[in-house]
Parts: sequence; structure tokens; C-alpha cells
Amino acid sequence: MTLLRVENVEARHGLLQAVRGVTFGVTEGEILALIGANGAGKTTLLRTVAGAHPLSGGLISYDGSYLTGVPAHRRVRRGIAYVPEGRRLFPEFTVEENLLVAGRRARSGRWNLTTVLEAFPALQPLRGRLASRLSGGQQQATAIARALMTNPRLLLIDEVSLGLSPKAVEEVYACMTVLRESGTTVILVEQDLGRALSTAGRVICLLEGRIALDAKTEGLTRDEVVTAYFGFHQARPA
Amino acid sequence: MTDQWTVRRSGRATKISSVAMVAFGIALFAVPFGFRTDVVQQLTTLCTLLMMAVMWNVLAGYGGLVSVGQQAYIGFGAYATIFLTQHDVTAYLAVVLAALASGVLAVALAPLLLRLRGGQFAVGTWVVAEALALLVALDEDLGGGTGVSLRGLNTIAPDWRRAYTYWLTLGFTLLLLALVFLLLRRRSGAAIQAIRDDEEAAASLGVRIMPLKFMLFVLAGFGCGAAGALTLANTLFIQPQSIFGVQWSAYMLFMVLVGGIGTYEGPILGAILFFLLQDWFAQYGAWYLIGLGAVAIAFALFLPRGLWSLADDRLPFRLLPVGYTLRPAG
Amino acid sequence: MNWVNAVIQGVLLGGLYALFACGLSLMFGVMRIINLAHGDIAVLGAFLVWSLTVHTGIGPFWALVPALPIMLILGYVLHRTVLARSLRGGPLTPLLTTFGLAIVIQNALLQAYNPDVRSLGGAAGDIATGSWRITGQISLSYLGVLILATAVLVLGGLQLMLRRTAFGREMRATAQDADTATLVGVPASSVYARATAIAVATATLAGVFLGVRSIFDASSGPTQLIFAFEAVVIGGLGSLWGTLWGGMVLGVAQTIGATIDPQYSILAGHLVFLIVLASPHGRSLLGYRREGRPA
Repeated sequence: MTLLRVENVEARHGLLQAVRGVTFGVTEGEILALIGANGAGKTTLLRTVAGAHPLSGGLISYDGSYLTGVPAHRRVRRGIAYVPEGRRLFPEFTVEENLLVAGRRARSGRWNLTTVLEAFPALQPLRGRLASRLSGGQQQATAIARALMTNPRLLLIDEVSLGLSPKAVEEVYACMTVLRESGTTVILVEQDLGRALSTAGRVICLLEGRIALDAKTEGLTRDEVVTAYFGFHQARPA
Repeated sequence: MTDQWTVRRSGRATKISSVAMVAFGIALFAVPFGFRTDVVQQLTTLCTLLMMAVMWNVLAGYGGLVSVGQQAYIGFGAYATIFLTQHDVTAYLAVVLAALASGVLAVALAPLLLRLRGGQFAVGTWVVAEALALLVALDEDLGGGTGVSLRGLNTIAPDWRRAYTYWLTLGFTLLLLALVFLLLRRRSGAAIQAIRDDEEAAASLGVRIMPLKFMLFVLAGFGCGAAGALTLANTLFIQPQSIFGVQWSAYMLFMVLVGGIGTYEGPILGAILFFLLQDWFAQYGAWYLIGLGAVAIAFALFLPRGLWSLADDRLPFRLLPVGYTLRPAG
Repeated sequence: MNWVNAVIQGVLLGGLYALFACGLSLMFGVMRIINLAHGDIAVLGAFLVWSLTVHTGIGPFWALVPALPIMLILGYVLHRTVLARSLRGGPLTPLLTTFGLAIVIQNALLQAYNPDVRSLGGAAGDIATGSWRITGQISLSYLGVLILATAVLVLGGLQLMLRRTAFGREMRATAQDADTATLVGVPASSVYARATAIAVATATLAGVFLGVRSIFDASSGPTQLIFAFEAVVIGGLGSLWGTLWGGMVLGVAQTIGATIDPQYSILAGHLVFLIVLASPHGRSLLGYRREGRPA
């Protein structure tokens, strides 16, 4: 069943057109990686789905209805959660407060403070710590946990591993197992191609605001990905 | 201002329109020779309003500083004139000195007030105005709370007195317009534009905001002081409650918002409109002021760039070369 | 003894200023705007209560029972119609619109009620005039104590609401980062509207106490806004308890000024405010701090 459908979506930053006519669908339970060079439009695309960036053309439908005009906080209640680039935790809140504020108006579902902390045991001892005093990996885990508090059906994660230490990246990707097991649909933006391809079942590569590649990760060759990523063939080393 | 429509090329059109406007400004000096004295007095009032509007726009439109306390300088300029004439300075010289003194007052207050941002600056300037009004009301030599008349002008024949006052007011108005013009044309113009668009981005690009804000603040103090002193010279009598009244800020806000905040021409347009409205509707008292407030809100919300933006977008050229990228052709 | 009395009366007066200030402080804390119509809204509330007392014969405190909900709704609507739109217009727009609003409210009151000076003291009965005599020169008026107690209760209640309730948490989240708050499901505009409603209601409370304690007219608003703002700045921006201290410092400054010469009363308050602004304390308060908590 298609959970999210993006049709001819366009989005701009002032005069700059960041997303130019992108179309794709996401099936329930799928994990989709969105890759592409800096400025390819990945974050903008994710933000338009979350309702944090205005659509300048096209349509987004979710769970059978169009999202046009639905404000961001209503989309959250309908099951779309967004983990922003740079985590954007509330710095003056503790980890627990960060989780609770997201849980207040959530859909009902399996996730609540107890179950989220069970799924993220590393956060348990940090409950009372201010978000501004967490390490990068802890912040990312908290941000994903915060998004889970809203019981999402569709989870959008921007720049999963950007700025994290290798160990922290491991920890964060350990969370992905939890997500996969819970059947949550995930779209993640990831700069680390290896990570993206090994985690996701499908990959979409954006090039200058357009889709350059949309394929199952299984059987995808390195060459195909690189071509889509850079927009030209790299000469193979002889 | 309509005869410039025939010209097509933007560079030359702008040049011609500027020359025409300067010529028009200078021609205005001849008004006392051709019109009745009440017209002269009305035009004097218009010029003082125009000065205030231009100065408020300098602060809010260019510096991002919304002041609710420019009446501090209006009142200070007026009372400094009274004080100087009481100490045997000729009235018109006193007006000029009082305007300069208002500029000095702004220099003194700048370190205190310019550290405030947004609404804090707005109310902070207001407190200063209130404090000044209270101080002036305490001084019996300045007439206390009941008001005081300007002496020293009654020796001049009324018609000539009005003409002199008008000429001085027009002179100050053109001086202020020229100063703002220079400010926009020189390097500071680009910096002002940057601050107006995004103060923090401008700061991060190395625009030195404080010296610029200081300059705008002092210029506005000087200009409003002059407007206050000239208001006194025009009406010959002032009371602390009214000359230090917050209604001046309301008028300035209205003129600038309706005309077009952050544009050179907008406040001029706004002042003329306000002057006409005042003439037609002031008799309705509170209703008139309710209308002013409501119109100001409507403009802030629905047409934030004011009426001038409507004209500006349609004109094929700029009336004055105040755009910082603009190079007159030829 | 005179001085001791001045200080005590100033502290009591400070309660009134804190009450005026807390709505201003709340709106600044949550939305980063200063509502220039705050004082006029307070006076509007006082006039509403005055009308209720005149037409129904009930005392001003009973009149608050219908007046407070009315003003809550008014505040909510005010945000939904005017402020929400002005917040989208950039940092200057809220200032311009609230100043316009101040002009409108003030002159509408002038039009509806004429410029006469009014008081709610008569309708309030004994509480407005009675007092406890401590010594020959010092007395505590019932009303002064009531106002101070109300201020403490309101500030404490707001503090508790912000710290302990889920709605308060949403309000603090929105104050920290409104964009992210919406992305975790907090309807920021509705949080703003409710903050405005609370601010308008506390302003009404303050306006009514002002009316019972002394007099008011259609143009009393700006002065009250200035006092409220001074209390907020003296006490430290964004701190609710600081607002109480700020109000008291301002009140004491005014009563001590008045003890020297009644003409110096308000001037002394302005002076203390300007000294605080000029001091390093003021500098640290008003620095380029972008984040802040409303509590």
C-alpha cells in the first residue's frame, strides 16, 4: 500500500528552485534513502513533506488524502514525524521534557515515554540531563526518540550521521533496527552512501532538484549510484 | 511630478526627474511672494511634518529602530529654543542652535538606548521622552506645566515673520532630505540596505552596524529637534504635555507606514497625505484618530511597503537616484 | 519613620506594577514581542468593569467574574486576527501594529466614555479605604495587601503553569524554538493565542486594581505600559519573579521620590529605570541574547 505519494513537487528558496518536479511513492514499511550532493534538494524535499517548507508546485498525498494546506503540527498528528538537520532539540529542556512535549498531542500507538526509553536504553540514565549538554550521538538518539513519541507512520530523518563520531553513528543506526521491527516507514537523508545503501531497501538520488536514480538497493552497482550522484560517468581506473 | 512620464530611458529619466524635484524644492522658496499668509503657515506645518516623517523613517526604515520617543527631541528642540531666547539669543538663531543641541542630546543618549533592541528600544525611548517632559514641567522658568510663549518674534511684522519661519523650515527640510540622500548614495547606503534586509546577516558579513545606527540616531535627533523648534516658531506657544506627547510618534508612524517605510519618497508622500487628512478630518476628534490607527495597522499588515510601493512598481524609472546599484546613464 | 512608610507603601505599589508587567513579560518571553497596547488593554478592562458596576450595581471584584472571561476571549481573538499576521511580517511589524492598536483603543475609549476621570474605589466599598494601623505613621491598606497578594498568586500560578503543566511545557518549547515546536506537533499559533489571552486577562486584573486604588481615564494606558515595561527591565527580562522585584523597586523609587516632593514621584521611577539600563547589570540583561525562557 502506498503511504506517501509525491507528485511533480517543486519547492524554492526565493529565486532558487531547489526541487524541480519530483515524483515518487513510498510503500508502507519501506525504508528509503534519499541521497545526493550538497544542494541537490534533499532537505528541502523532506521539509516540504513535513510541512516546514512551502510547496511551490505539485501535490503530496499521504494515507489517501492530499496534504495541501495542512500545517506542520497537524501532519504530526496524522503520523508524519520529522527529525530535522542539526537535531534541533529544545536546549533548555531535559531529555525527558523533550520527549514529553512531543508526546502530548500524539496519536495513540505503541510509543510512550516508557516504551521509547526501553527502545533507547542509552537515554535512560540521561533522562534528567539538559539537551544542550548531550553529545552529538546522544542528541541524535534523543531527536529520533522524540519523533517516535508522536507515534509516526512515516518518519523523516534528515542527515542521520552528519557531524557524529563513528561510534555515535553505530549507535544511531542501531536505532534503525528498532524502527524496522516496528514497521515504521522511514525516509532518511544520508551523506554516507555505504550506510544509506546497506540500511535502506530502496534509494532515490537527487541531482540538482531532479530524481537521477530511483532503484532497489539490491543489485545496484556502484557505477550506477556514482553516475546518478555526480551526473556523469567517472572514468574507471584502468 | 507628472511631467516626467514622457521620458523613457531610465538613467536620463531619473536624472531629469531629480533635477526637476530639486528645482521644485527651490521654487517653493518663492511661495510667500505669491500666496496668502495662511497658506505659508500651512506649508510650514507640512514641512515640519515632513521632517518628522523623514527622520522617523531614517530610524525605523533604515536602521530597524522603531522609536516611540522621538517626541523627546521635538520637545527638547522647542524648549531649547525657549531657553536660548530667554538668554538673549535671537529667535531664529536659537532655532538653529536648538536643533544642533538636540543632535548633541541624541549623541548623549545613544550609548544608553542603542543597546536596546526591538520593543525595548521603542519603550526605552518613550521613557526618555516622558522623563524629559517631567523635568521641563518642573522648571518654572520654562513655564512649568502650563506652557510658555516664544518671545522675540513679535517685533517682526506677522507676514514677514511667517515668511521667515517658512523659509527656515523649508531650508531645514531640504537640508534633511539632502542629508538622507547623501547617506543612501554613499557607501553607507549599501550597508543600510543590508541592515534593513537582515541585520544579523549584515553583521556577519562585516557591516559595522553600531556606527551606522549611531549616525542614524543622531541625525534623527537633530532633525526632530529642528522640527520641534520650528513647530514652536510656527505656533509661538507650547505646553510640555503636547510637545512631548506620544501623538507625534503616532503621526510619524502613520505617515511612514502609509507612505512606504524604508523608501526615500514614501515618507514625503505620507506626510502630504497626512497633512491633507488632518485638514479634512481633524474635526472628528477621536474618530479621526481611531481611523489613523486602524489605517496604520492595515498598512503594516497588508501593504507593508506603503503606497509608494504601488507607484514605484509601476513607474518605469526611479524619481530619484537613491538605489545603491543605480548608475545614471550619460 | 516617614521613610520606612515610603518603602512599605512602595512595596505594596510594586505589587500593582508587577501585575501590570507580568502579561507584558509573558508575551515577550513566549513571542519575543513587546505589546505596545498592553497598557491600553488594561484600561479597556477597567472600563469594562466600570460599566458592569454601573449597570448592574455589583462591586468591581464581582464584575471581574464575567469580565475576565470576556477579556480572555478578546485576547485570543486579538492574536488570531491581528498579532498572528503581524508576527509573520518580520520583527518590526508587531511593534507597528500594537502601537496602532494602542491608538485605536485609546481613542475608542475616549469616544465611548468621554475624557472624564473615573474610579472604581467607591463601588469597591470598605476594602478600598480600610487599613491596618501598625504605628502612628505606618499603616497597611487592605487594598495594597490584597493587590500584592494577588500579584504573588498570579505570578506564582503562571510560574507553576509554565513549569509543571503540559501546556506550560508547550509554551516553553515554543518560546525556545517555534519552528521545531510545530514539527513535534505543538500548534505554535494556538499557544501564542493562549499566551496573549492570559496576558490580556492579567492586564485586566491590573487595570481594575488601578481603578479601585486610584483613578483612570481613557488616556491612562501609556503610563501603565511604561511602568510595566520599567518593572520588567529592572527585574530582568523574561523572568517572572524578577518582574515582582522590578515592580517593587519601581514602586519604592516612586514613593521615596514622592516623599521628597510629590512632583518627583514618577521621575524618580524613570531615573531608577535609566540607571538600571546604564549599569552593567542592564547591559548583561539586554545583550544579544536570542534564547530565553519565559520563567
